[in-house]
Amino acid sequence: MNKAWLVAWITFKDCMRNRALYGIILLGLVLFFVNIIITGMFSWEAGKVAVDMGLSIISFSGLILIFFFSINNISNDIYNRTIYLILSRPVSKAQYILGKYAGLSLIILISSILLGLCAAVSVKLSFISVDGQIPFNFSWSLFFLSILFLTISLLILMALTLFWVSITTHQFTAFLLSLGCYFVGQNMENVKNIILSTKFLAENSLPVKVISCVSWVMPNLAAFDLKTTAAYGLPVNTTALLWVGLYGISYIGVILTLTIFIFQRRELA
Amino acid sequence: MNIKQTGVFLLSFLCFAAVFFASSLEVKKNRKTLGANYSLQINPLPGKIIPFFAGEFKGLMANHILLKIGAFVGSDKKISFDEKEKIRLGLEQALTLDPYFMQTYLLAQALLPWDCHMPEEAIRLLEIPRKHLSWDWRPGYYIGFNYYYFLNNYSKASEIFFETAKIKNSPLLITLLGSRFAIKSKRTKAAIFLLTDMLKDPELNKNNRESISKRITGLKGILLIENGLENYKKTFNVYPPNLDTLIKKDFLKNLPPNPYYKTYLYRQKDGRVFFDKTGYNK
Amino acid sequence: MIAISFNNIWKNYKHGFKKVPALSRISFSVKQGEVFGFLGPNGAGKSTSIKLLIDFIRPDSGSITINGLKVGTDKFRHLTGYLPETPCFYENLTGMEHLSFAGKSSGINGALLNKKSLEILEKLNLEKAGSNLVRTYSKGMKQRLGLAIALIHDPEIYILDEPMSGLDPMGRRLIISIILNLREKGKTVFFSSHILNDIEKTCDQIGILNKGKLLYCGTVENMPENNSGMEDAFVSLIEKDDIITNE
Repeated sequence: MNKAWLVAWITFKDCMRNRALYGIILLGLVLFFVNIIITGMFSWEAGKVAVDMGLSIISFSGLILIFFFSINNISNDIYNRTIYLILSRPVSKAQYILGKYAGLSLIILISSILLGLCAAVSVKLSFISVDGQIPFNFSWSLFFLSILFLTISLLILMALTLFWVSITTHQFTAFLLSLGCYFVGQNMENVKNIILSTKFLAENSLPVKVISCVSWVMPNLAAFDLKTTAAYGLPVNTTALLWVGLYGISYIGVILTLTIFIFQRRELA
Repeated sequence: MNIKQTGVFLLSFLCFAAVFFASSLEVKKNRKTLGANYSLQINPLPGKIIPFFAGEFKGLMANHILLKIGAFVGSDKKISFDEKEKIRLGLEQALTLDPYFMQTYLLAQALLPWDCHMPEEAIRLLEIPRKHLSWDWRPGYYIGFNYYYFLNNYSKASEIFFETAKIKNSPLLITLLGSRFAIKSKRTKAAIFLLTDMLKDPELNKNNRESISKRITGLKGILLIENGLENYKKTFNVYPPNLDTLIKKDFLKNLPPNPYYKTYLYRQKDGRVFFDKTGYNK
Repeated sequence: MIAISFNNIWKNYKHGFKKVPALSRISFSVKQGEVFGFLGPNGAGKSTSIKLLIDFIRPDSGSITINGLKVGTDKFRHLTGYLPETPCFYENLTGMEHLSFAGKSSGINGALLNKKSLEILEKLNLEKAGSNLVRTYSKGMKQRLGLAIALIHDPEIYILDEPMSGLDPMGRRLIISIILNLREKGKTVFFSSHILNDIEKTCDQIGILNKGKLLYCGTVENMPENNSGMEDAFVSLIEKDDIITNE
């Protein structure tokens, strides 16, 4: 796996020197200043607003990094044939995929950490500026826990994006499919609950069965969204969260193995 | 791919798939039985900001929020304090995004004053559709009702009813209520009238129906006592010192039971009867 | 010892529902220590052959071996150095970083890698540009960097797809001298080119491809109609074949 690390390292270095990355991070920083300003406008909900906006900004930046930056990076590899540089060496396709995933994920991690710290600072500032109006039960550990789970959900999306790019190689199609996965992942739990609760459709009707199938195949990204928990300081079930974490990691594993399988059968025309 | 590589590949895939399957089951199970904390997700942003994020999809977003609240509430669970706040926020967001949507304000009126015990919030939110739906008498009607029933503010209630009555095609009921609430002596009758009309609403759920019926019973009791008091005043020019006097002097057969307190409370100063100490002490 | 051998290779490309033949019944071999030139007009299938050789694509039928190892089944990349047609690099990395990646992926590390990298960069006139980002490189510099990457791990077999393309006369001369140097060391070089002059100077054997068919495989001297010079012989061979296929 040493070779996968080599690929990861050059991917990482190449991305870190890419000016577009700094644009995205700068966007994140600007949004944090906006967060402080907006929070100042709402004296009765300041704490919750600050926390939620901070977490949303991290998520948003991560999404941009995935949908625009990463897809671009991987597609360019294939279009510009820089992939030849790697695959003409004694590096297997599996090592290439794993290395690429690791390198791009490292970028996401750094973005989460950096923006997470900025979010923490802006949240702290907002607490100070509104006379310490900390939301009932707010805890920093919850805040950072939600950043962790947010990052895991981004890594899941990254794996799916890599999967789609290796199937289609057409940049735009891969983008649409990844975006689709994001929307389905975020909303499918909600949709399922709504449909079942309105009792509009019977439990064993076709649409319900379809949604159940989808909920097995698509990742349930809503399970990783702890924004409300962090913003309201709600109690947390540790065991359940551990299972969710395991769910995320195993899903990434499944997707990556599938990606490797498909990629090995593709020809580099 | 040789045998060894295929083996490694298959093994890692099966391992991941197994863990995925197991954890997927656990997660699904947990999220079904999880406390309501996890089942109502409302973006914790004040209503004013939300439109910026919705952009051109305000209507969609409003519908989405409404569906979420509806689904959550439909489960008939007891609602905790945090959830009430979330419902209120969600309704505020939905109304800010789409002030014309009748479903939203109907839900607001159904939930906020009754289940969430937030009548002032209900009034505040109902002002939004009232402002926008200048042809719809319902928001005003509900506001007036909330002022009367929950806040015991008769003068404000009558003021709102009068304003609402000006809307074309508004039911006569509203004009009547406006005038009756304005007149002290006719308030109880007006209240009974309003509540009886409320009972006719088929959308009303069981708990609210019982609550209203109870209130009507209580009001009818008050009406009985008030009639006796007025007759006594006409005869003796003063109000009786207490309610027993009323019975002794035969202006009232017997004291009707007060569903809210051990007995009705009576204030001789202005001849008013109350359900409980709150109104009495004002 | 046979370094490279193509055995009855057939390859078709799929364009929508149509199958376009790229290579038909290609068979030839390259001995160890030989310099083999692969020529043909544009679209003849040279690049396809090379991609098959380096296992980027798979043949529809037939097999390819490198030093006896079967391409597609056995690992062979430790034996080969590859230069693609238009080498592309990560624009935000330096030449040295590319070389470092190439060396490490082939098992060369540390001080040895550093020494070798500097040597090769010097050999290819890139020593000053080594620490600059590839974004600043000219086409010729990129071509030379590509060759450096193929050379760094000192493989037995070199597979170069149009190594002279985009180079000025000095650059071409440099590459030729390197190829001849490799031959002296007993290395095998397999390359494709358009430039008949260079082929004449360097190759022991040549293969001529046209429309996916191998028209000739052998020495330059034994080429049919070579009396009037290689270029004329080449052109007439191609034209004759075109007439035959059009009939």
